[in-house]
Amino acid sequence: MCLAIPAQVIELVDIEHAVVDMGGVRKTISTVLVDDLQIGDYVIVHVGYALNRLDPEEAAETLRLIAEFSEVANHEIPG
Amino acid sequence: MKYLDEFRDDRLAQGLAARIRREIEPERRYALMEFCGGHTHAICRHGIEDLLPAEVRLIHGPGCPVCVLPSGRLQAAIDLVERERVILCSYGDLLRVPGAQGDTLLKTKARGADVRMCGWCTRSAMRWRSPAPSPTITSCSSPSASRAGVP
Repeated sequence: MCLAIPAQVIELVDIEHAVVDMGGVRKTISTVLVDDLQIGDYVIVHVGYALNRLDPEEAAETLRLIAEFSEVANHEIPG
Repeated sequence: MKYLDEFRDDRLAQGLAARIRREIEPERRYALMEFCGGHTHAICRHGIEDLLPAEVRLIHGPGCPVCVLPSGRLQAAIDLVERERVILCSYGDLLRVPGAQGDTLLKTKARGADVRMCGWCTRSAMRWRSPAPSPTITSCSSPSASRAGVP
């Protein structure tokens, strides 16, 4: 199946590769599809390629919308 | 892990389910189709159908050839590569898909079986075929490939 998962960049190997951390698992991936990656960035990884950079503001907005629709009283939005 | 755990919050999910139940118009029927097998797996694994009211029907769509590989066939591939001296070539996506007993080709590889990821089975198999005394090379592919005579 098409599984793309978030991972955090922990090392820039060269202009086309980076080491990422996926919940404790470290893996070298290709970064040819994403420009200007920095250490600490979150990327969406699929079959060994970073597809795009995860936008923290967009993620927060999505979580805010889910919380808004969800009928949970005083639920704190995870940051 | 950040950006995974926040999206798997069961309180939020229960809240969403409650909201959906409240919004349902009893005289209406709602049919939704997901088209990706990854979504079907997620829906089944997380019990989404049981969270939804009876008026909402989820129709499991076609899925790509990796997704619709019968789990029994995948289990047969796992059994084969564990028991026999074979190199098993597969598209990478399939390595994480669970077989009939919940096992995956990736776990099988971790246990020592010769499972290799490739983008194009035939070319990779040809490259690996020589010059070493070759074990049987087989590939785990889609039902359509099976019909075309690929083992």
